[in-house]
Amino acid sequence: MSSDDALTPEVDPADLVASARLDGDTSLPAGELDPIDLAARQAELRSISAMVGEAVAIPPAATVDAHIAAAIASLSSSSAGEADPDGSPQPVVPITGRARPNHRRWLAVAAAIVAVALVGALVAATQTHSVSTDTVAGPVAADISSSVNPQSNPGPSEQSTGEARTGSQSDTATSDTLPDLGVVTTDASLDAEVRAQPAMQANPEPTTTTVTSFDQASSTTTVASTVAPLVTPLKVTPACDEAVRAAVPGLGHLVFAATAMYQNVPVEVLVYAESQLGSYRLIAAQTAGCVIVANHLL
Amino acid sequence: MADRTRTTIDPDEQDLITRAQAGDTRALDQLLRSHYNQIYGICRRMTGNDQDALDATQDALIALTRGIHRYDGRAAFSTWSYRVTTNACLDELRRRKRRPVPAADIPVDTRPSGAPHLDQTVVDRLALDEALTALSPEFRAPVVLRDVLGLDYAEISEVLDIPPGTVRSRIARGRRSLATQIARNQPPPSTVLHQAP
Repeated sequence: MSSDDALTPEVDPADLVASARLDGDTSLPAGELDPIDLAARQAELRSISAMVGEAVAIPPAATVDAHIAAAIASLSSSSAGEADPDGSPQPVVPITGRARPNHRRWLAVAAAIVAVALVGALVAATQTHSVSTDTVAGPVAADISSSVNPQSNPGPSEQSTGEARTGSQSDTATSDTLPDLGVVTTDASLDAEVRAQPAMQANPEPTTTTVTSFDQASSTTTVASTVAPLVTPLKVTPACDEAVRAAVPGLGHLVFAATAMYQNVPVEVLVYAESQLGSYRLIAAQTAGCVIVANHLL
Repeated sequence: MADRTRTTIDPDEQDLITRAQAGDTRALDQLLRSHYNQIYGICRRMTGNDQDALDATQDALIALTRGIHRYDGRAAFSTWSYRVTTNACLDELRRRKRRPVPAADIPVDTRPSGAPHLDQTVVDRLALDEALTALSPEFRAPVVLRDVLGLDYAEISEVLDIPPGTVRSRIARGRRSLATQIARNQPPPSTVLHQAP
């Protein structure tokens, strides 16, 4: 009996017959083979066949689900002709993890931990710094400030002030974005109109201000009075602010701005904190040209 | 010869195939599930260990998914899927040859001479895995397709694209090689301690 497989030229004829008969193929003649030897070989190969055919443990359902899901997901990432169903499949990234170099994995983990720690420290430092200052910053602090200051009276200017507490970018105000004080003819009436504004009423005494601090670690809020002048700056920058500051050195933060018709001339009314004197300074400048027409302590 | 495959296409399966080819992922899901156990069985026996079998199974499923539109129905779907799976397993074996084998995957006979063994079944399975691993894939594939899936020579011939006579002789040679290898690795019967029921 000759072998028909070049890879198995030395196949034992008895094994070939025994194996074939085991599979139900009786086309090969036993010839002069010893029946007892043939039966023994058949029994031996049957045991091997049974071992190979023994059911294997199927992976858990979760693994099966993951395999099938990954296969279906590969549809979206595959391009036409990428796989040859009759040939060998293209190399793919298996969903089941294979051992990979551990040092790379640890480096990635370490880098991620350092990055998270840095970001956390930065956020914590920013919050601590901004919340503890008297110019309250951040939404949480702003809410606390308004809740502990019953004099808060939200008006246009107050809103601007509030925005200033949460923002850092200044905008140049135009006349239509500032509150209008109307027609005033004298310094006294101008002062009265300014003092009547909600934003100014909320902080009537420049030498007394409320300092709110919020300790995030203990979730406690502390309120203290100081003698520092009110230095809550406006977010907006009126058009004449720069020119006025150039003309009047030593001005503090701009705490209020409005427009008015002062002595029949359209003006910007600017109120600055006077840090040295512990008071406010009111300056009125013509809208056209920023010529100062009034300058006195409020 | 026992035949556990379907030589004629089940109408329900044909419907699934048609829908899957049209892009119905539910049908594709169902189709893959219905063949999963056979696919994994081939891969487990072909690769000789669980991890490589899982990798090869994943590769086979992806290849089947991506190639489903090319299945033309000339062969049974099972035959086509076994061909794809066998190729995925052979690819996995080729890749495994190229990469360093983790220590845990190296088949090592750690049994001390004369030491008792807890479970003969476990020993047999380890010996079988070791013997299959040592067997050349050219012989392993037909043996696995015959003994795991119950394919007849003609079907194995179709899957592996080799003549039926070659299938027969390779199976005979493969079985003999396995028997020899397993007998070589088996401890003497007197040292085997069967677990009490």
